[in-house]
Amino acid sequence: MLDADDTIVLASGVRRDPAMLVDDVRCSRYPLNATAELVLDRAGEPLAEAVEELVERWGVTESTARHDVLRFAWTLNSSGLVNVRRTGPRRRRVLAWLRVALRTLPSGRLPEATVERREVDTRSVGRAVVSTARALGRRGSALAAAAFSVLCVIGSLAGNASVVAAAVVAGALGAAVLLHEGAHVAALRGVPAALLLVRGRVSVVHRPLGDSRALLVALAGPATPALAAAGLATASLWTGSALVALCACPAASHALAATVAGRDGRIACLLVTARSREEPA
Amino acid sequence: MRQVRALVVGTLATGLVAFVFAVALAVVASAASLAFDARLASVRVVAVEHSGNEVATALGPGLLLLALAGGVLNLLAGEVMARRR
Repeated sequence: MLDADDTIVLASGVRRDPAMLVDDVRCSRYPLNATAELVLDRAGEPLAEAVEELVERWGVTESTARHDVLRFAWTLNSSGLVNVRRTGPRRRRVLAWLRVALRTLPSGRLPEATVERREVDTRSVGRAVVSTARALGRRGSALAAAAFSVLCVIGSLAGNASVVAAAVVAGALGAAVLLHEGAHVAALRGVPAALLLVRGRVSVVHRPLGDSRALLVALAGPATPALAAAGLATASLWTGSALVALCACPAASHALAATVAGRDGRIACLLVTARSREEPA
Repeated sequence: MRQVRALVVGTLATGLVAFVFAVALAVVASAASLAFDARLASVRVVAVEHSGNEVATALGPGLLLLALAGGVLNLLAGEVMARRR
């Protein structure tokens, strides 16, 4: 859902070549026609500028030009090639979102969200973890905050509210998500990669990998928080700490992502080829 | 190859989740001075027993059965997905 006031900017790792858009992370090249070049020439400016230019240059109607430009920008963003910068008034955006949501509600779906591509540094394991934490820090915190609220409500209803326990378990939940994605990125050491964020979903994009490396990358994510959870559970057996035992539960559930129920598991079990993993979310 | 991977990965993943949740249940029950004996059919999964001031926690072979069941389920689900492709 884009607006003519929005601007697009090339995502990190994506560059322009003559008549070509090059994604250095996926090692992919996309040919551009004259209209596509015109829109990309105006990256960083409101999309309305490209619409005006299209009307002037080819004499098409404004509604046709607007539809074409917004659709192309949407395709680029869905493929994780450009990021969208919202510039219009927030109130108008919320109203537009509600209008679309009312139309899509009968089918049980929310309006499609824009994709945000974030750069991660895979030169070393340490850099991979830090850059992933930087890219996902806000999402991890938001998840932990939401979990904290829910746990506090459940605790109050059960008549046994412990703010400290809720905070620790919620923190473990957020940390497990960071650990999961950080491990994927760390396993990609030396391979350029980026994170694609769409609502609550995170995926890692990179160039095609060999079978064994693809298996390692796929399993590193679920295995790392799950093994940390096993360590915490064992520690709780020795110490008798219920809080430590409860912290282990959300991290342990990441192991289920390694089964065919999760995308990582489908890659590990050869149901999705490593090539498919690089395809945009 | 695909079947072996699905069975191994499913068994390990389910086993790990079952182990952590069983331990958490046992530790929380111990802290709350509760006793229980969770079984799968007649096979013990996890149990907490109190005798005087002593608390005994036992993880049973039911955990292994759960892990294997998870592996077989993962294998079957993988086969269904592979045939639908």
